[in-house]
Amino acid sequence: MPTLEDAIVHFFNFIGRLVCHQIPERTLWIGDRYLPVCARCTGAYLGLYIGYLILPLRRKEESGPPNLWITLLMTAPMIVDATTQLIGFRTSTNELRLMTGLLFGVALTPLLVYLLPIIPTSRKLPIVHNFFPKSVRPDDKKSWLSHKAFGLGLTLAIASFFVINSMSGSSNELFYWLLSPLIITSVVLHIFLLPILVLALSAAYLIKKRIKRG
Amino acid sequence: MTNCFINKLRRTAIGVFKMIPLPIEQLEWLLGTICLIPILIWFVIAILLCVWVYRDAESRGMSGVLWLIVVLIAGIIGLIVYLIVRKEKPTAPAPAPVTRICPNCGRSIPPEVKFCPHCGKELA
Repeated sequence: MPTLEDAIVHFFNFIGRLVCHQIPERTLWIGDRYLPVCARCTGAYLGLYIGYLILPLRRKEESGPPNLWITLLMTAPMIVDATTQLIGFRTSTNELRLMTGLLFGVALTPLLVYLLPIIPTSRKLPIVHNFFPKSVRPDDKKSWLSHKAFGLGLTLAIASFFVINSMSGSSNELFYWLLSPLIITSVVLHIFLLPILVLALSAAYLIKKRIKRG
Repeated sequence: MTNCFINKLRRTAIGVFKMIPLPIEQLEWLLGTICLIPILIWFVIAILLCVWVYRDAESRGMSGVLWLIVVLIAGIIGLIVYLIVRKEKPTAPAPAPVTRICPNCGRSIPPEVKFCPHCGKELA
C-alpha cells in the first residue's frame, strides 16, 4: 500500500507528465528522486516565479512593453537550445537546459503581466491589478519595465542556477520537497489556471459590453 | 508537545488515507481529461494571437501571411520579433485645405466668402 509520501510524489509526477517528457537523462536527480519535470521545464517554471520578483522595479507611469530586445535575448537561448537538439544538430546538457529555462521564465513573466490588462476586466483583479501598467501601448518607446529590473532578474536567475545545480545529485530529501511543490504550483498556475482566468475575464468583458449595448 | 501532536495528526492522516480505496487510474484519467480544457484554451489564444498579428501586419503595410507563418512556427519568439520589427502605423495625410481662386485678381480666398477680401469683387 503506498504511503502518503508516495502518493504525493505520484501526484507530482502525474502533473509533470501532462506538460513534460520526463526523460530521466534530462531530468535533475535530487533527494534520491527525479524532479517532476525535466531540467529545462524546471528552469522555466521556477524562472516564472523569479519574474514576479522583479515587478516591483516597474515604472508605473509608463505604457511601453518590457524591453523587447532584452526579452528576446533572454527567451531565445532556450528555444535555440531545444530546437538544435530536436533536429539532431547537437545534444544539450542539463546545466544548459536549466540555465536557459530560468532565463526564459524570468523574461516571460513581465511580458505576460504586461499583456494581461489588454482584457479591461482584468483591472478588477484584487492585488494583481497594482502590478499592471497604466495602459498597454506596445508602440510606446518608454518601457514599463526598466533595465534595472532585467538586471535583477538575470542576477536572480544565475543565483538560482547555482543553488539548484548544487542540489542536483544530492540525496537530501529536503531539496526535493523544496523544489517540487514550487514547480508543480507553477505548472498548475501558469499552464492550467492562467488560461481559465483569461477565458473568464474575456467572457466577463464580453457580457458587460453586451449588457451596456442593449 | 507540539511534535507529539503533529505526529499524531500525521498518523491519523496516513491511517485515513490507507482506509480510502482510491481508484488512482480513474482519478488520473479524469484529471487528465479536465486538464485538456486549459490546453484547448491556450490553443484558442494562440489562434487569436495569430489572427491579431495578421491584421496588425496588414494594417501596417507588412505581409500578414508571412508574419502569421512566423508566429505560428516560432510561437512567442516570433511574436516578440514581430513586435520589434513592425513598422509604424501609417497616419492618414492631413486633408488639403479647401480654397477658391478669385476670378478677378487670381488670389486664394476662403470658399465661403461672397466678396473677395483682396479686390472686393462680388463672387457667385
